[in-house]
Amino acid sequence: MSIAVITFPASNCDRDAAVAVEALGGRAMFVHHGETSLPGNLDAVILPGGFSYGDYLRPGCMAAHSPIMREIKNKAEAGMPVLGICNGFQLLTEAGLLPGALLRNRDLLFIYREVHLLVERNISPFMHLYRQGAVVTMPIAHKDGNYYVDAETLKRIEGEGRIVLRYCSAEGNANIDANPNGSLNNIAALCNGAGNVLGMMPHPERCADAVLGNTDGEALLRGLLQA
Amino acid sequence: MSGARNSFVNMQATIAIMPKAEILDPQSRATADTLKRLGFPSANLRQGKRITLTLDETDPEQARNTIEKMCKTLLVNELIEEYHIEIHG
Repeated sequence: MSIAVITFPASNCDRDAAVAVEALGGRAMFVHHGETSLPGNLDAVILPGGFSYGDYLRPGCMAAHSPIMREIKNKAEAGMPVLGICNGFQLLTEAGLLPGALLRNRDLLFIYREVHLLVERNISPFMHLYRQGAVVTMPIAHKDGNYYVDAETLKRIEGEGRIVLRYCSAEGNANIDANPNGSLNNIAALCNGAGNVLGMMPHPERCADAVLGNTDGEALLRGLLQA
Repeated sequence: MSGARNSFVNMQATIAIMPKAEILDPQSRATADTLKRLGFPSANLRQGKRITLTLDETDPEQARNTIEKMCKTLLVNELIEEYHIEIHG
């Protein structure tokens, strides 16, 4: 199973993602944002976390127009799994592969802590190793993770069951008290209509090894490798 | 008037980009709160971005079209922002 990890200027979770993939038996290949094609025999793409282009203009917007993105759009439309983590999620919205935008956090703070997440959908290829309704814990580390979309689109994506993870309490209540950043409907992760593009603010690659004290993200990456 | 404009080789323009009214804008709220704390009267304040650019272009209409395209392609996210273009000639 080969996964391309795209490196943009100021990506800083690209190595973490590659290490996590390789520790689970996958093959990770770094691809530079200036490339115009992806390696052959590729099974999935990871758009890693970081601050691509220094978050200039809007987080993810410069990266969304990198040369490699045209090829990634083509592959995503052809059904290849594409996982965007944190800055990767921001990038997917800016590239038009997912609806919405990630605004500045409600309380203007950079938040770095572990949060509880409700597994709303256990769709393949990312979530099929989780139990639907499970509560998992993953770290978030962002200043712009406040998910926003217009009311009509929100209603549509909720109706289509495209919300994959919601911020919740330890008991699994996705209420305002468990919402760290102001995201509409506590949305922490959502997928496209076909289910092969997933954007998420939490960092599964930072909790996929017991030495880091939490392995709740491992099943997501393992699921991707088994898809 | 248009003759005078056409004599410019470089077209200067300003793009004002503001968060849409319905977007929760905590940054502007914090700025307004701080002004209030400093003793200023309450202000209904919104803050945004201003981009100035110089185009190698003589026709204001053409310049506006180009800048519109720039806005829609990269400079503005129309889901969350609105913009206003001013051509200075």
